[in-house]
Amino acid sequence: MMNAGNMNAAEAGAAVGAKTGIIKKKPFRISRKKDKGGAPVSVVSGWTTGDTELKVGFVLVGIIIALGILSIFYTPFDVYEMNTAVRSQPPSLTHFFGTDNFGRDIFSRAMVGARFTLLVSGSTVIAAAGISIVLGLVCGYAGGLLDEVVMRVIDAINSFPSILIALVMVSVLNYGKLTIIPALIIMFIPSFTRIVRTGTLQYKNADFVLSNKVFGDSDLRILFIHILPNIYPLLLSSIVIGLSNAILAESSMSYLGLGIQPPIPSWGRMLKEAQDILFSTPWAALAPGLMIVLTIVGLNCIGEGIRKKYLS
Amino acid sequence: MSENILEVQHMTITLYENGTSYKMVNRISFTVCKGEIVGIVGESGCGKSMTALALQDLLKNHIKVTEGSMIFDGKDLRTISAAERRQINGSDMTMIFQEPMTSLNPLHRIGDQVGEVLLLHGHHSEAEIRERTLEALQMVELPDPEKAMRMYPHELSGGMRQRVMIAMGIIARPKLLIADEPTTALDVTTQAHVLELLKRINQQTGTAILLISHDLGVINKICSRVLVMYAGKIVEQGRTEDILKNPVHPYTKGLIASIPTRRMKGAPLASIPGRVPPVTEEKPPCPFASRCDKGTKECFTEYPARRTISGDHILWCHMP
Amino acid sequence: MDNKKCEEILEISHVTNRYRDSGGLFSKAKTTRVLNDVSLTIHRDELFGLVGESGCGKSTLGKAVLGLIPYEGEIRVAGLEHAGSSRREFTSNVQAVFQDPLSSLNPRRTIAKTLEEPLLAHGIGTKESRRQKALEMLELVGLDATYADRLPRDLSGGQRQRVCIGAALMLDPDLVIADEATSALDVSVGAQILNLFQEIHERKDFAMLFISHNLNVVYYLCDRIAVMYRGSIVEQGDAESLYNNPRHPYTRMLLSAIPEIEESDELSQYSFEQTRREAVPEGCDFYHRCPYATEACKTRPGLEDCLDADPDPAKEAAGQGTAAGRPDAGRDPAAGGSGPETTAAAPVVREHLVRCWNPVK
Repeated sequence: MMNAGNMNAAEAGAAVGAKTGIIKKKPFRISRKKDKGGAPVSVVSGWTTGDTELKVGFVLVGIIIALGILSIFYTPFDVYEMNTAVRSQPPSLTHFFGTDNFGRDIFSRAMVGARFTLLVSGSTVIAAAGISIVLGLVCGYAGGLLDEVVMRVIDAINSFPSILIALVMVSVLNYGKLTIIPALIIMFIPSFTRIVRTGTLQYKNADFVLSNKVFGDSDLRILFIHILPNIYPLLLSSIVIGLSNAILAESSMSYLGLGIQPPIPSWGRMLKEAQDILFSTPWAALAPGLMIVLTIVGLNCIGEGIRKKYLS
Repeated sequence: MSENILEVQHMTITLYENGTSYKMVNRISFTVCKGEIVGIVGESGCGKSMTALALQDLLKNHIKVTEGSMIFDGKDLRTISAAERRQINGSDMTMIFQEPMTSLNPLHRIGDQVGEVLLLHGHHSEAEIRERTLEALQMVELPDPEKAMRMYPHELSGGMRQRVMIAMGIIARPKLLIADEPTTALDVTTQAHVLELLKRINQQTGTAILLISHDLGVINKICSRVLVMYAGKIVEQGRTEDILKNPVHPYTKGLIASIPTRRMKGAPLASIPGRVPPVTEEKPPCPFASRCDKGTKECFTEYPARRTISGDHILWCHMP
Repeated sequence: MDNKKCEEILEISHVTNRYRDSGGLFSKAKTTRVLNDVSLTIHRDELFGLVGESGCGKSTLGKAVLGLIPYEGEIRVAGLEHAGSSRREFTSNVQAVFQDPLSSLNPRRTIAKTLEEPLLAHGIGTKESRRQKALEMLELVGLDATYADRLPRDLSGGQRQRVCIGAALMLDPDLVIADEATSALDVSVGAQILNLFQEIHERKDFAMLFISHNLNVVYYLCDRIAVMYRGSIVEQGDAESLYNNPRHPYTRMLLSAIPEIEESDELSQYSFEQTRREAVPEGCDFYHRCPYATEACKTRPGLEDCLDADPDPAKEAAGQGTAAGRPDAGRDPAAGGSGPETTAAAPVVREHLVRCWNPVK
């Protein structure tokens, strides 16, 4: 009958922990919800409040970004120069992650790879988000035939395997180093649009939107100045997760040879090359693999931190 | 005055948030006699709902009763075992809530939900349960109880759902029924019927009722005694007619003056300046002191002692 | 027509609103009539109360006046109709205050920005002048200027409602619709808001349509009251005569059901028995619950004036219309303009309309 007796897993865990003494005297962290009279309505949100995740995430991603920016000005070794004298060297103090079978310093290549990967995925996600915001807002607000048609087209795009889209784009356009970007953008539009559209549907009937209509606001104004700012938090979290997905997608494409073309290093490409020389130079996969993992974990931490801090 | 069915002494309910504790209810004491209808009136945040939830042991994990005693029918509710507690809830002491729609399970029929109370308390045969369910539904004046038993909650109107809730509350023939804003979500005509129903149940079965409301009119309709709460404290209590005719505490006076009645047309309502302080705010010993037009230094340093005006009329205030 | 000189701020004529539930897999499409041939008129500077229980259509009527939902019939605000005017034109004449102040404010905009919003929507003024007006409005509704840059979540319920009232007045509308403006607030805070309405009404020039389920509040605040039941107005008149001498059985039922804090012998005479019978769709809406229903009630009655035949000579001399003397006495009071009869002050319309074949004496 009453919901008061229900506990979620976190609360149950907290209760057990407190009883058995494993967790000593840790005060419950409670989010800032309040009811009508100002009395707090408390919800236990887990062991952390989101600050830890944000810190960890920003540190991890910060390192990668720093390396990428640094690579514009300086890399320990030249990235393209092949030096057969030092090929297939294991990690050492000069070559932090060793050299590949062409004698190129893997660490430097990974740094440059970071730059390109971040550029590609960053621009992809931003462009996709921009298009999705417009599409999602308009479809959600207008509804009707426009909404149906656009959403069906988006469903269709969603059902294509991403590799196929990339192949089609690559064959239609030329093999440039940035051909991958339009393909990725198309891949990401469906999910972002859905999120924005759902948010718009949620807010379009909100009381304050009604108030604004009564004030005389035009629909355009309501969409961009009133509804959109309320959807930001939701979108932000998805963008961060989208970034990590984009990095994975780009890496996969490059692995398959569809992404950034050699000799420009990209993490996915480096992994493919490392696979080919796996028995002679096993450390070749270490740098790109580690960087991918750190970036993805960092981005996911940030996304989770945003969710915990601003969405609960 | 007959025996007390409920005696609450110096009860404090504390909320734990972010490492600090806040008192939602601060050392309140009151009694409910057998067969009496007592009302608790107050605005949002005064702690009246918390008191009810504390009595029924429905407080969430980080809100606890930290002081005082609640003696129900001779048993101290804070010290009895969980099993005994479960036995009391729903049979000797029951509660009905404000929103009948969310309090009823939409997937079960009315008859099953009302009868479930008996399944949980005591051993009754199926036939007996069915008979008692019908009896309860008849008592709450549902038209055609036989048919209603087979219906689902969404097929009934708000007023009828509330009657079903009341049926669930009285089927086990409780000694005390706690009603937390039972009519707030109902139309005024339905409200009148439900209040009359509660009064009739009290007269016929002798069940004591603790009625919680923000509406003094509702309290006046059926309660013989009323407690006025403000920000976690009881500021005044007594017989309903006394309180309404001769309110002494400045808050009670202000509350009564805020209600528009027939005679007040055209004149500004004497409203209380300021607003009800949230639970997390620091409050002086008399929580009303900062809004009170009669406050003195004493009100900010010492908690007002209990004073008896006359008979049942009790006041907590420094001012004469 | 010059809007400023217009005496009828709000004219609702024969408005009907139907809600079509297209049904689903298991239920047929249903059309419910939410508003049923509603007509009423509100005059300049008048406080008009609309009372009814949930589902009677009073909020729907408010939304129809604001132009937020479609309807059949005619609604004119200060002479302008929805169809013929743009949203901008129309909204500068009528504004609203809603029930829930928290959800009525954009949680991400500061108070000052919310107050400036009506001006921004209409492209009025410069950045500085808008801010200035917002601060002035804050003062008018009794809030400190420090609240200007706060967010709604930092304010209490009563303060938020003050902001909503301020926002509604920014465009200096001729008509303000208050839909259950005090229902979600504590009693003492609601009293502050009612006082605020009265204060502001004295300082500024606007008519108000005050919608509520609480007849006491409506009587306290308003000059004229209309009672709605199931989409129709069943009784309408000036507050005193309606409250002290209710003629329609439903109004009497409402009055007797209100739990009072004062003893009153008069109310006991209105107590009623619960009556239930089969409803008749073409008949009176109240037929199925009315303790006084007769066979005649199986046809729907019209809204008729039931004022006494002998008018009060003193009132007649003062220029107020009575049942006999008014040119539009009879079935449809909303259609008439009372222009030539009125004096400079807001006209006090004496009327008492009841939709009943045998109104209670």
